[in-house]
Amino acid sequence: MKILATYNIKGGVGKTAAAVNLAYVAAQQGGRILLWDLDPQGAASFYFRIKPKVKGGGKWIIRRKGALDELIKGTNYERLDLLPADFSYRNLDLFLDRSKKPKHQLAKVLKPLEKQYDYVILDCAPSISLTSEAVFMAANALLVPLVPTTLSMRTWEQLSRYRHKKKEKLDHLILVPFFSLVDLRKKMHREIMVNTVNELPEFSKSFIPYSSIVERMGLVREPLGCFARNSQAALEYQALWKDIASRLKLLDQHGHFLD
Amino acid sequence: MSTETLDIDLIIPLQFDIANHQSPDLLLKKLSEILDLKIDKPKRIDRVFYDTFDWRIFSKGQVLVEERSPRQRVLVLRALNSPVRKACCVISKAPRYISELPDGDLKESLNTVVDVRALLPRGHLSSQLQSAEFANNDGKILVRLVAEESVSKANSDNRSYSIRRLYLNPVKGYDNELDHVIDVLQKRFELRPSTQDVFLEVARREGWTPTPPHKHRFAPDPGIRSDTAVKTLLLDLFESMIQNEAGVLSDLDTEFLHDFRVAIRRTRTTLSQFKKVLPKPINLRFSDEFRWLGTITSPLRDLDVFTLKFDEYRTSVPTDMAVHLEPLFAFIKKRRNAELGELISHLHSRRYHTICRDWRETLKSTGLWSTAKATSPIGEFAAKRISKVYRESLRESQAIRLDSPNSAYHELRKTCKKLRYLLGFSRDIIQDEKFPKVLHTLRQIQDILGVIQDVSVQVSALSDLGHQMQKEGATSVDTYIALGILIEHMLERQREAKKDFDRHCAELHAKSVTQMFHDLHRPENKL
Repeated sequence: MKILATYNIKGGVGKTAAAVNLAYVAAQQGGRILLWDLDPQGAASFYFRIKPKVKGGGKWIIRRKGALDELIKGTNYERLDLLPADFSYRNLDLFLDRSKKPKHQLAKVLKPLEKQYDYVILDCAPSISLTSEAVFMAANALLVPLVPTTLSMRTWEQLSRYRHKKKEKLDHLILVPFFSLVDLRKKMHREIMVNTVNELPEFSKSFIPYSSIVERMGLVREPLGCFARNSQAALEYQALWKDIASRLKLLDQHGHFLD
Repeated sequence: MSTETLDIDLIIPLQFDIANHQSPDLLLKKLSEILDLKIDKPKRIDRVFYDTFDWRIFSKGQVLVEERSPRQRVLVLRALNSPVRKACCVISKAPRYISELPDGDLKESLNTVVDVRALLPRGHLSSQLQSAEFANNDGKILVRLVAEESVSKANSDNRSYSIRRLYLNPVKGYDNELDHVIDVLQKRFELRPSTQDVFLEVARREGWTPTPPHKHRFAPDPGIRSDTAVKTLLLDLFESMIQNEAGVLSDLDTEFLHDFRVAIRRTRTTLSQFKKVLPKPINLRFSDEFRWLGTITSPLRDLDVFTLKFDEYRTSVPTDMAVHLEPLFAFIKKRRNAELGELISHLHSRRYHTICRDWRETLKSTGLWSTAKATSPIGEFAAKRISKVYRESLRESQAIRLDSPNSAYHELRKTCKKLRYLLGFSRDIIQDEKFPKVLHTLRQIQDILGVIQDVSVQVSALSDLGHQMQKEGATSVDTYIALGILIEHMLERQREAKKDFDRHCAELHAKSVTQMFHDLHRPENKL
């Protein structure tokens, strides 16, 4: 089981859209997927038409490790399950802080699911907090959507610096940055993308365009693959998943790079 | 899952029988008046259920079914009594052997279960399936339903049957909603949970009893007369032989001939080990006849062993040489076809039919035999035989050195087979706690001796085949070189096996084991 997290310190960059669409693509390709909506806003749960409510809330999850399975809901799609959001997740930092080794808690609660799923995708709330650090410890890869703007790129630098500083502890973590909400009519978007992709090879070549079709997801409450499967955005998510999966294949079962 | 647990009145909670007077699509329509259902258009598919001759898939609690729609053919493996797919793959023709399936989960799951056995069609259904979804106001699916109306293909009596069922596919995390649907189905529509998987229903209607065939499990009561026990044992083996005969004739898979030969070999062992129980004329005649049956089935079995090892041979030579073995394989296949024809004509011969007829009459005759040992209790008699054959195996194995000829290993192998066979049918009446371990050791030694003997036979046969190919102009220098490499690889395996032999043999010679066999002989410990 590989754990991925869509993460950015900044909000409104397309994390949830990426989590939902990538989870759908992966399930369509035969993977057994669990999407955990960690954002108390519950947007991923909304897209999947599932109530953002977890019995006992985040506190119960952290205390009763191993009982996650009974909180999981099947979505309308084969092989794709969801652990819904809950408003109490806004206090997840507090619950974690009260436990022993708080940064290892998310990895621990997910461990019993490792035979059940091929991929777990964590849709994180925008912040850098104790919960984020627990996500970094649990995840094999961080999928980082970035809008090609100066401010957004600064968040990437912050995240890269943070990972570098914690190199020993976060050595296992692959970062997969990709551009999101791209408007090719804007000169700044074009320039930042070209410069970044040339200078930083870890950036995915796939990018998600700014598109009204992605916004329509909120209306139809379905992943793009269901209602606009041939749209450019849907095709880009497919290409992005291919890129992510090929990078993850280089990891062994413990998340270490294979030679 | 054992077959015993499946024959009881099992209730399958997520499948319901629809009564003959109810139409499945009408049922869904009526149900949609109570539950918020979205009903899909009906789909037509043909389904063919497969299993091996000896029901290996069913014995593992699984069902293999081909679902054929105008668009594609899919082979699906699912657990018995569950609609959930465990593995599936797209196929382009009816499956015969697992080796022909595309690589993937399905092939992997079935490989060890089915092995080399052929997949036989066990029942055909023409089905109309109508799916429906029970969803909440947000459009979240809570339970999936499938209504089935199936009609079988006409059977040999020109009669067909129909099956009507409603399946529920639960969605994880919505147990209360599932219970609600079940409640409605049972209380409002008076549907009852099915008690049998549709596969078992088909098997029953087609007249199949999905239980593994004869496995020579005869374990006589140690106190009964030897002639009665031996007759029953021989009849058991004869039934097994006949059960496999049709499969040999139609060349369904290589296991039929294997099991046919096992029954013959065991019959011969019984005839020789219990010769004092059988009347001399019967023993002499049928010993000869079963030796003949052993002889006529050998050439084809030897070639079968080759064909089963093609993949192993390919990986035994350097990758670029493997292709040069193909002419050899083609030659073996051609020879095999010729030998099969030869065997079929033997099995259609007057001699074979006379043997079968007379043997059955002999074994089914109610008269008791008046031979020297006919009245001895079988336990006492078998104990003496076991003890004697064990001593024989001890003598032969102790005489073997690393440089002993292969024939010495072969003789020991035959003795060990006799011993294991005798022990096998006496297993329920030998109470010594070391007994299972002794059987296990014996099995390991036999495996090693099997490798040594197989290599001897195969190397000699491969050399002969090489010469024949040369005579017929069917070979090339490259094939000869590949053949040489293959033979050298096999001989290396044989050398390794001979080294292993010493180690395992020591376990059979252990004082405690010798004592166990010795004790069998003592009057107070007789079987």
